[in-house]
Amino acid sequence: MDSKNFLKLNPHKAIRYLGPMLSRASEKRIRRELHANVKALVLLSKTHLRFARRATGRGSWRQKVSRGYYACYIASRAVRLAHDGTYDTDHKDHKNISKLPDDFPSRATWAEFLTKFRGDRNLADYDHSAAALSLELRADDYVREASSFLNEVRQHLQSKGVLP
Amino acid sequence: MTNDAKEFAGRFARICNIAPPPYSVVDKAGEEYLALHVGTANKVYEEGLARTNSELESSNAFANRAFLKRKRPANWLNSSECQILQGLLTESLTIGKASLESDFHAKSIPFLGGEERRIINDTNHVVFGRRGAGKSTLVLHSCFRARTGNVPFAWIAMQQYQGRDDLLVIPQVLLEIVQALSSCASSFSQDMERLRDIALTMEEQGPDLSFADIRLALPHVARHLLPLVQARGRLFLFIDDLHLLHPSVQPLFLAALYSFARGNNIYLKITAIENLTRLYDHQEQVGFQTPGDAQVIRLDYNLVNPGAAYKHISRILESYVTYVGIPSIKSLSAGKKVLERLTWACAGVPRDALYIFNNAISKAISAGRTRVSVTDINMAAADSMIEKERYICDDVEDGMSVVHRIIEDLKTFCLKEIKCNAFLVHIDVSNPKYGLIQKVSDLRFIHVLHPGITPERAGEKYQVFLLDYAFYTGFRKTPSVKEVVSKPEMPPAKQLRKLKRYDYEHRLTVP
Repeated sequence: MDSKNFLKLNPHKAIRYLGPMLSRASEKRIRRELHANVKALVLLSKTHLRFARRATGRGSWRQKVSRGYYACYIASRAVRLAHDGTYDTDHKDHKNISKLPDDFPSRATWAEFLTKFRGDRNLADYDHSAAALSLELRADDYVREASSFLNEVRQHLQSKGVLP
Repeated sequence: MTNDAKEFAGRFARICNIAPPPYSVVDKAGEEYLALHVGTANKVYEEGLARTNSELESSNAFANRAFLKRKRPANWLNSSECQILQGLLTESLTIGKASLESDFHAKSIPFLGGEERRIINDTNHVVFGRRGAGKSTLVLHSCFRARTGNVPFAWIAMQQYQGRDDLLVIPQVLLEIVQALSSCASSFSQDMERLRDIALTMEEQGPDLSFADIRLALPHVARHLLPLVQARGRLFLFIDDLHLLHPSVQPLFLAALYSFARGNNIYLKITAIENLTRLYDHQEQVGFQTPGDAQVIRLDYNLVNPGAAYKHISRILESYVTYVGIPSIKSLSAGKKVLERLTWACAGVPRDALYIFNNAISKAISAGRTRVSVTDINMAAADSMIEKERYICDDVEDGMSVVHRIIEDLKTFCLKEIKCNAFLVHIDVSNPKYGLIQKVSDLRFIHVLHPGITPERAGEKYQVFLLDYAFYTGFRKTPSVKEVVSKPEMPPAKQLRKLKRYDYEHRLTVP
């Protein structure tokens, strides 16, 4: 099965429902595949963040905010996939960026930040009349916070045994 | 959308326990977001926002589309953050098991002397301190540490056994311990069930229960408690406010707990007011002996070291203020003098400081001030006396009227006779009248300023006491009363030696 279809199945549910029929080896394989996808999402998230950090010059605030936001969105996806197996490719999934698991460190603080970031990502990508001053936080602050969020995500996933 | 915005801000305010904050609807390239205007972001708002989102998720357009917008208020006293601060200060006046759910207390409990590190050592501790000195707060801190370290613990508040002088207290506390441990002892349910049976059997004996019966049952208690302790490494038993038990039963109670705790990695952490506590019965030779059986931690940052008391009080208040997001205590109070006066008014007792400061905030707000002033502290301190008097009957079961009489006489002595707020008391530990003066000090009506000076003859030691501020402050200090010192620093010994002596031997008549 290819990776995308695998994620549509919700690996957590698959293990839960098929548990009695699955051999230990098959269950282990599903978990391995799940962890590999989470790891790949974390790598993608880092790629976005790298781009955000490198953006310079006039108007770079837009790239900083946009790429920084996507770094966080993908990282949030990684956490949600690892936690309950959800993986949604619909654009409506953006509203779920702040729905982190209950045991995620400083969950409410990050949720507030991610919501704010989501609003300003819209501004950065679509509003031709907006200026850097229209943002709720400075673009560099967004990138710095995004970097902290990614660190938090990495540590959280490590503590859960999903990332090495 | 307007209604949704109003509903969202209203629900957020209710959850955070503040007045509805100002808000604005912001257009983010075609998508509308709700910006809630606050002085600063803090945990209370963030948690409140998360709860509002989940409660309104299916019905409000701004659910998961609201954020906090920082707008520095012109006057922090009138800010929402100050409302949260006042709520937090009020909550902190009664620390109990419920405080285990408090985010503030989980993160910020300031102690100066490293007591928070000592108390979690593998040894028995007795924590002494006056009412409000932070005994329960220290227990709370230890419980947080125990919880983080996965150490089983039971917190027994002695409030409900107040004044009891019967031995049934022992099986009843044992039942409470079993109850507290059941949540973390699911794999030992049979042992827990047996423990419950042992305690219930003892309880059923009613008034006939003797200490010999209890002694017989205690090895069985140990037998069924030890599997849990061995599996988890150790067990902490917190006995909060031991002094509330009748003094006659205190040593027996401790002896019972200690009999199964000793050598079994079960550690007792007792808190109490020293002069109301009897750890050991010398006649019967039962109880707890310090330092052999337990180490003593004394919590009083009293006026013996006014500089340390000032720092301690400032640090505690600062932790509250910054937790709610107010930049510093300076944003709320007018200069150093306010905190200096507060240190004297609360005599270094943290809970009194919280009570007085909270009250002073309300007074400053209703007077239309932008910052808390010395006058507000004076007025709030005067009010705090009512609070203290309420607790006399709680802590001193017998001899309440005697305590009242002594307080009245001390007031007459200081305010009418010597017209000074400090005085000397001859130290004579064998004299019961001296013991009563100590009780009045434990109840925070007078405060030790110096533990022992010798004004003339060697061997004749005197303690220096300060009359509580509340007795002579109102809108301002009574001008006729001479203050020994007004700043939190130690007055020179020369000045202290000249103070008048309170002759309790002749002034007090005790039945």
